[in-house]
Amino acid sequence: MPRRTLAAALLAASACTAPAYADDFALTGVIAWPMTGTGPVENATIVVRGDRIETIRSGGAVPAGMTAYALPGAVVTPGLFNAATQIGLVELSSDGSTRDMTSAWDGASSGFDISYAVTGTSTIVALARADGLTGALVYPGPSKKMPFAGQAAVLKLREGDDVLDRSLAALVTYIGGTRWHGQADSRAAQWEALYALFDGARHEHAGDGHGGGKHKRGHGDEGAHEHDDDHDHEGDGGGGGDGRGHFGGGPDRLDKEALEAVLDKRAPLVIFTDRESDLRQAIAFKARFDIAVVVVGAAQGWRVAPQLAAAHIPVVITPSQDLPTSYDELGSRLDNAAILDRAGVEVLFGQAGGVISNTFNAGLALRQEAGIAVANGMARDAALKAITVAPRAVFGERGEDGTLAEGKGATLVVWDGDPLEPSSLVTRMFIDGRPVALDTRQDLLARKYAGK
Amino acid sequence: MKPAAGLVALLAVALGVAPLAEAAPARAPAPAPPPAKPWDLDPIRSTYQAPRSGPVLIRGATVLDGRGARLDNADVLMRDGRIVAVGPNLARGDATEIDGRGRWVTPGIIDPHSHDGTYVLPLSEIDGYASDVSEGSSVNNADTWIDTAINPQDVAFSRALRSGVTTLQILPGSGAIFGGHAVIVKPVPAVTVAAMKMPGAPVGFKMACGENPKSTGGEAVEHKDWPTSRQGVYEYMRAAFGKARAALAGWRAGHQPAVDPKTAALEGILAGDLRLQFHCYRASDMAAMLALADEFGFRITAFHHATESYRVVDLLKAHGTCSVVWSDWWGYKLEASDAIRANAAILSRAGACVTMHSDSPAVGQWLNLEAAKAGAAGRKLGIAIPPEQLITWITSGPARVIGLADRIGALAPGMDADVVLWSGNPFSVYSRPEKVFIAGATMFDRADPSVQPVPDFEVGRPAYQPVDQEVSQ
Repeated sequence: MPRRTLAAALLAASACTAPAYADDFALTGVIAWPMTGTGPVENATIVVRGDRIETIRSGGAVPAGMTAYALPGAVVTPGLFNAATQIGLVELSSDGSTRDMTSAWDGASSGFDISYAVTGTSTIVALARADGLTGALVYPGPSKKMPFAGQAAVLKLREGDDVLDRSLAALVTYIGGTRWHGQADSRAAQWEALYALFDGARHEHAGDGHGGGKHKRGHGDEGAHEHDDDHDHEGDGGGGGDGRGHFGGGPDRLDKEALEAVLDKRAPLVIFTDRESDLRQAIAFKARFDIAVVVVGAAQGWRVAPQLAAAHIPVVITPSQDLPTSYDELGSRLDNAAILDRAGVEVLFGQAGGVISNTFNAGLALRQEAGIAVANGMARDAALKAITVAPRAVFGERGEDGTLAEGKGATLVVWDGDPLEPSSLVTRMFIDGRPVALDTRQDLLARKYAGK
Repeated sequence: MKPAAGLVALLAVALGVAPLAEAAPARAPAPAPPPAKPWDLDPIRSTYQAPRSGPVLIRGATVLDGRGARLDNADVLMRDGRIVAVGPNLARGDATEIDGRGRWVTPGIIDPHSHDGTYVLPLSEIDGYASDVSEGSSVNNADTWIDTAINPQDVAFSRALRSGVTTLQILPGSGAIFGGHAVIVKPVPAVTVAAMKMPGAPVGFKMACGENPKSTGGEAVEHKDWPTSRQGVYEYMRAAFGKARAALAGWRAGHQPAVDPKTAALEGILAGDLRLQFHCYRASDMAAMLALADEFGFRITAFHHATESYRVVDLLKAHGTCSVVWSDWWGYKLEASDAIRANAAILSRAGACVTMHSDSPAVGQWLNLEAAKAGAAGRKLGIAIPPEQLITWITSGPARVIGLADRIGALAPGMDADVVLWSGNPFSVYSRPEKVFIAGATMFDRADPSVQPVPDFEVGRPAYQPVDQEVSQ
């Protein structure tokens, strides 16, 4: 349903440095990269009505009376998606009061749900959005109780504070030599803990009869519960509370709900790991429990690429990683993305640009990583899919599949060049058909001082 | 660091008396003559031998000379380690000809701020509490020389080389107020740092201001003499330079030199012999350090990181101090909160000295993209910076910062033949170095595995060897 509210009109009118766009509009003369598998559309006319793309056609006509914006030669893509970042969970790394990715609370491990902390009122989120990012999977750091870090969330970077798209987008665990300092240094214990907890949850879950599945939240809790329809939300202590279905159930219930979601294939298990032996373990673990598994890192993925492909395990990798950052990451190589993709593994990109840029430049670094992957042998189309279509297929973003097509959401980015070139800039952006203000704090400071 | 017994002996010789502290052995070797200057204390002499090669001519490339010129369809001739000529239609003579059509040629990239060889991946557990990046026992490590710690086996050196980097300045870290002496190296395969060290290169010296040095004091409450505030750090610097000023005056008047190598190093700064590389983020901190420099009459060669240089452009220009910056690192600490991507572009347009740097073995492989991103931020502001100017931020600019602008960082007759042949525009993410030359010799060749140095770290390690797919199924 189109959101032509007074607020939207005022928002559009108040974007003082961006041109005001009519609610319905067309872009003409652009080179559209729709990511539908049919290649770019030259001299494209993109007609937007409300929050939907009505048509996208080469040389298409603009409906009578509709405002058209001629942008000859501009490249237009879907909004980009960073599959592993922590935007919205921190404002200043050095200040604990702004950091929400981990918790000292030992009440929950798999139950630790960082989606409660997500905020869009952030210079970091604004900068990522202005760099072309409209979607992200944000993940927790290691919790107080290994092996689980907690639950990841999908964000949609609309303007305003409410950027949460889906909570319980994944259950995150860390496996490896340097992941759990001071707890279970042996990765054997980490795997054993995973097995034990999943075995236990599966056993109990079979006896439960599927009661009390976790209520997923997102975007003001008004959205569709597309995966929850089969579950009642009584939880353990009678209804009421916040509808999470666990009111009165205690922290253990939080932990179990997350495991049940994975066992029911409502969410994947995301394993942060790099070493070949752990990738083999991940493949075996997936087979044992018949769950969805995604690996983040996979520095040695190139060594087991056919096996990962056969197991249908998508990977979220950092193409620029070519240093032995840890012993688990020996053998890191720039063509990891190309080798994995050629073997048939579904490749996504995340943890882009290193520890700082992964959070603080989540959009720009993501594009640079995609470019580096192509420069080192990955097919260009695969690299574009890795930052548009593939992450949405794996993690899901409501109403957005990462394509530009008739009937799909009008979330699109206009570029002044190739988006995989880190020197390209976003010139215009629309989320759900609404123009997005692109001026960031950095832009304002730059303009203030540039004249001096 | 305690003065070594050898210094006592040196002092004794300088004063013309026999050493008193211990009985000399019967046939002791003559002690080394005292250094000409009290701060000339580097124990490591360069044994670097520039690689040798026959003459090479790159034909028909797009050439960026590193000093602001672009030549299309031009040739570059190298012989005996130097650039002979740059221009169209050069005579080949006996040179090996390389096809440069469709390719770009630039000077070798120079990284003026690296910790390669001391921050060596994979880090060991020891690095957690005893790292070679910085000495941790004092906030004054002016007596240390980073070259004594460099590990030439760091894989980062080979990564830098294949990324087009031909010279690096390796600095101590920023936890101390006075970090110590830097070193300038070529990223060539070597077993000792002496074999990498550029002979005759000026000596750099690291200082730090802002959050890092004061937090070293704040976290070590048992060290009552380690300042915990910016004002305390400033007075610590002032006291140290005051002592050095007196010692320098005394030495110049013919009195005995300082026995304390920490003071001797600061004399070297005051005398203008050491090039001061100053870690500072905030504009207010940079202004304070420039005031200190004015008080004692020394020069700050460059502020490193310098995320707020855009706020004090005129002050930096007036002092001739360069800014050594990133394209987009920001926000991880309070003093980096006001960083802007347009920093370099604003400085450049104002005619202030600016260069890129890495401070990271990862970023150190993508300095061309650092310049590209910083240039794009300028474009967003309406500041157009063409490729021939962008390249100066990673070639002649850093050469100037490390005091070697007359030897490296430009493709001009007589300059060292450190050259990169790129597959395309070096500021495109799709371009890769095809060949990297040092002194006119091909040190990396993308098309020839025999000219792709493999660090010893990777030799024989299974993770770096190809996978036998049949066996692994």
